[in-house]
Amino acid sequence: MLSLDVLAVALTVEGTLIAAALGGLVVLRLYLVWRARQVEAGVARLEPLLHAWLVDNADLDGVITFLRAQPPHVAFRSVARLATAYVTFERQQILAPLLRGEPWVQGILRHGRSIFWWRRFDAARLLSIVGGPDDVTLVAALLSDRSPAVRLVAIDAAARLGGRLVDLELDSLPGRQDAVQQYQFAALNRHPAIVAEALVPRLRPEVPTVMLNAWIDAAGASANPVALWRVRDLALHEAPEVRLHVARALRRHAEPETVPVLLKLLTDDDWRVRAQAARALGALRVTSAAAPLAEAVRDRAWWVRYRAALALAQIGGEARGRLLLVSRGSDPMARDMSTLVAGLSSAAVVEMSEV
Amino acid sequence: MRGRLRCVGARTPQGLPAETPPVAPVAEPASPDLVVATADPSLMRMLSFALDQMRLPHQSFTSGTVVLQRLLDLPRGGRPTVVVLDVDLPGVDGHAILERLGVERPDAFLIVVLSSHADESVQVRSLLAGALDHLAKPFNVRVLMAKLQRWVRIARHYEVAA
Repeated sequence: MLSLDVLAVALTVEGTLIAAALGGLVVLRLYLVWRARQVEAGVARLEPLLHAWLVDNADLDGVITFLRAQPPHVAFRSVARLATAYVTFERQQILAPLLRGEPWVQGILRHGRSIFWWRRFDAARLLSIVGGPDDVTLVAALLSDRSPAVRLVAIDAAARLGGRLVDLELDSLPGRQDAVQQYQFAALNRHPAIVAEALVPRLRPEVPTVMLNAWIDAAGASANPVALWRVRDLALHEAPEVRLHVARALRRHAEPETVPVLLKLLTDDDWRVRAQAARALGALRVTSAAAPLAEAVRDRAWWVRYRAALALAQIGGEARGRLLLVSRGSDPMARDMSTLVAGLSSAAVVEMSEV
Repeated sequence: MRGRLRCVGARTPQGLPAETPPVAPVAEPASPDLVVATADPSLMRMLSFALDQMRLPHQSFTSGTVVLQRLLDLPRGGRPTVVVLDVDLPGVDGHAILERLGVERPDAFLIVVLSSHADESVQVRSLLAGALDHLAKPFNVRVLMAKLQRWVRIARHYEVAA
């Protein structure tokens, strides 16, 4: 009898705990749905006010007053959603100082050093919209946050604030994953002048290869002519990896002086450099490079043949004629490659050239 | 004006499916001045608001399949139609629409492409396929409106010249 009583008590307690846990999950779910609806309603009401400002240059007072009247999470998520998707950087610069002093903004930014990563994430995200000179220390801390999500969002805030933060970002480039680097480049490119100023002194031959490669990539992504002049001067660097990055970056440098440098790189000892040089000549549509590129379609490396054939197709006109000539030539490997590429549509050529 | 221009499959700027054409059927003009295609309801509302402010009549679409069919069905000849085309459309994406129109109806449309991608390759692809312009989001809506106003005027001039 006693054992049955114990069992009944144990079952009751266990059942109660399970019911409480399920109830808690249901309540949490309902709470999250309620919050999401609040945000949706906030976005819907903020939208016309923002449109009036963006389209008609209407007063921003309506936007500021509306946001002040909302719960902080609604104000924050509405601004984060709409401002990043529809407000250009120049317009954000007008909005930022007006929002920076608002109590709800300061409340969220105070969580920039919270022990919870999601609060730091919100602070970093808000800083990418409203950040000002007073926030440099906080953004620097968020840039080296232990959470990768926070670090990624902080990149936008850092690029927005420029100065020392751009130096920090450039120095962190070599250690980043490729995908993160691309994100950093996109964020940095919103401020080309500031970035070029920080980048140019770094592009020196004596810099360690790993660092130099990352900075050459940054120069290529920025397409800044001053930075790319410095990159061009590195074309004779002794390390093939550096020459490879130079050839890749120069595809964004449409200047006559770049052509002989790329033609020289097209005859490099390293096949990877030759392939990237061919790709750059195609991207720049260098018509005078048709003959050397046709020669490169006969290269011993498959990748060089592929890039050279694509480049001829990209350049078009006489260059495409040379590609067709190769496709009727005696070299079987060059013939196969040129036949393959000559059959691609122009959209496919553009797409494949960028991959 | 816009109520009269809506067609089957078109959507209102609020993202709701368009109902049966209101009241009595009214003959559609040969070609609309302006067509907007985006699946982003917020962007659609902003563009509609801006176009209404500029008094530019337009048709709105949220599906790539529907807008492509509608554009291909437009009568041949007459003035070109200005199209604001978002790349990210359900059904057929903006680039595919652009390429198809370039093959089937070259010179019939002045197309501006909107995309969340600012990559060189995406821009080059749009322009090579025949787009008049490529704007990366977020774009300045006032600048876009000024361009559209100009292009619609040019399109009307084509008709006069013809």
